[in-house]
Amino acid sequence: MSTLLEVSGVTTSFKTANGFLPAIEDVSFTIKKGETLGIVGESGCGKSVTSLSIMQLLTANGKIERGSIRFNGRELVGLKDNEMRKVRGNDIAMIFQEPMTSLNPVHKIGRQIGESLRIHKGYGKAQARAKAIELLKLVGIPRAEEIVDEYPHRLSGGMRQRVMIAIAMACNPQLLIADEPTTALDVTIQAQILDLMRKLKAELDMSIMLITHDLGVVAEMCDRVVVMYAGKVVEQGNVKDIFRNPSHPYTVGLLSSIPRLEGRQERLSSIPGNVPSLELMPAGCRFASRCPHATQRCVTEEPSLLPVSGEHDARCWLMDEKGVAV
Amino acid sequence: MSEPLLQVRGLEKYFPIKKGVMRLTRGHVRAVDGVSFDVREGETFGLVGESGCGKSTTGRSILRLIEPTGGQIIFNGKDVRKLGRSEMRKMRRDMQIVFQDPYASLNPRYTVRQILEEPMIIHGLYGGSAERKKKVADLLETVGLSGSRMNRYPHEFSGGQRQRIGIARALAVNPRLIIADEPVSALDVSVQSQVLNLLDDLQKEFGIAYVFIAHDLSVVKHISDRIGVMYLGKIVELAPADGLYSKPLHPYTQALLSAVPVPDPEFKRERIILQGDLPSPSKPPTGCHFHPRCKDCMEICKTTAPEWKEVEPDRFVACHLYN
Repeated sequence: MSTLLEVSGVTTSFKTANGFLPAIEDVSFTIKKGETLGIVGESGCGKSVTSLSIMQLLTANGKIERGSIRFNGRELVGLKDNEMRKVRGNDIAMIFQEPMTSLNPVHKIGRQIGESLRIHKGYGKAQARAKAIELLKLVGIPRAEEIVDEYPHRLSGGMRQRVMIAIAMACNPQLLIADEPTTALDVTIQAQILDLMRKLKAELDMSIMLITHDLGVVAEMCDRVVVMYAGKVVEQGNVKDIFRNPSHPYTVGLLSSIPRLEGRQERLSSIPGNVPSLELMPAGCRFASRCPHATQRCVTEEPSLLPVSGEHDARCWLMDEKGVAV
Repeated sequence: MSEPLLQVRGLEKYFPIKKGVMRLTRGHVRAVDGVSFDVREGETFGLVGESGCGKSTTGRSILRLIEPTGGQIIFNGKDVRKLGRSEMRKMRRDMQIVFQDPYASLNPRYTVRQILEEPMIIHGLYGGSAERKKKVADLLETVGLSGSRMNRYPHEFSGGQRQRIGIARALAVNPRLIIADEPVSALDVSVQSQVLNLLDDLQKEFGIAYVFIAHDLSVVKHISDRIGVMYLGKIVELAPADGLYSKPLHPYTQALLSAVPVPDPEFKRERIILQGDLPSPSKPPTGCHFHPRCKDCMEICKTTAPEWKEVEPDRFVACHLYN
């Protein structure tokens, strides 16, 4: 499979009262054509900042300081606004967590779906409307001919997320970035939406970058996984390796702290403590203060991504041949 | 077995829908529509369902934080709905609540010490200020926070720590029942497991009973002894936690369980995908409320509401398949 998106060494910082602080540091990963990549981590780990950096939708106080983001071989960092606008919504589309707030309440559904078609593809009004109805049918909305003239508040959360997906699909993007697309939805509705995303991916041959905190969703949807912690990639590999042989102590802790439906657990294991704040990032490994295996080396020296096997890497001294005892 | 600690019988909460200039009542939203269950001393009763099914309204109605419109609530042998204001206040010493949002449920202008002292003062516990201070420090230690931080404000704590403070506040009056309304859904998984373990420890230590309300089935199954599944204002199935998972009876429970993503990439199963959305509780479908989305819908389901029946010992279900 050829590479669609290549993110390498991206550091994105935000201006705070204490100067520029990096929210993500030296983030690298690739997405191949037709693949679903999962980005997992807890709140504040930088998964959303990563996606906003790719789309260059950062707020005014944020900027990409270093690194490169190549889409189909073309560098996106440093692209002019009007150039980037041609990529956004056309080659790369995005859906957000909150289907309630990401639709414009004063415009009809049809107009919101048609917008990108009129901008990117030069469709006329009637043509865009016809395509909007077609897209609504594609995402499984009943009575598409009527819904196209409705306002967003008339729809339920699940239906709104379907509309968001229809908007994203409008220009046949090669990459869909889905930032917690089902977090605000009930589990039976989540099942509908995930099913729809899987179906569209197969039909339209696109890649998906799925950002989520839910390891169940990752297991179900993704081919490969990137685990983030405190702004860094701590582990990456294909989905089976990550779940069968989690190698970073953070991934291990995360996997064992979820309550399971099957079997009976007397007690959940948990990761003690909290994520360090941006201002007080430790010099060594960022997980050291919560890690059961931490040694002196972990506190002073930060590990790089070390190979576990094949394409599976973990940012942990345990992976070092010399071991942690050094 | 001895008398249950809490008995809820036919609990109803109808919210009026007012329309027009005269604000005339033109119908009702049946948020809770005839809910019955028991909670035994020291056990955890889980209440699970999707948004809008009435699980939170049920929890709040039990404490009369929302005044129920019908039914009976017997706590410790007393009919809670017949109590006057001051008696009700005394009763709440034994029944406490922990809320979902650890950011909104603590007063930002109070220190942690003031937050934890308030219920003690209201209920006239622990004599003087020195004694209360000692109790506050004890409570913080109990929930895994350092007693030396009692003079700090809520904003100085993380989400998980704030939820611990919320739990400490509920514990301050030594309750026998805590209603926990989505206590971990705002937390990250690693922190969520800390709080679930804490709730578990407190139950073992103090013998507190919980009504644990949540939408996350794995969490509810983990913590509960028995579980009630709610749909559109009614409990459709009630069973011990393990039995509910290994053999769900109601088609809605089956669909709900099959929709939960399993954190195992090699796990294979038949998924039941429900069509459509939850109907509005102001215009519930005729017959069985679930029939328009049910894969096993029969003719009778469209016209007649199913009876609430004990089909096996300790297993209740409202479904025509089992009549």
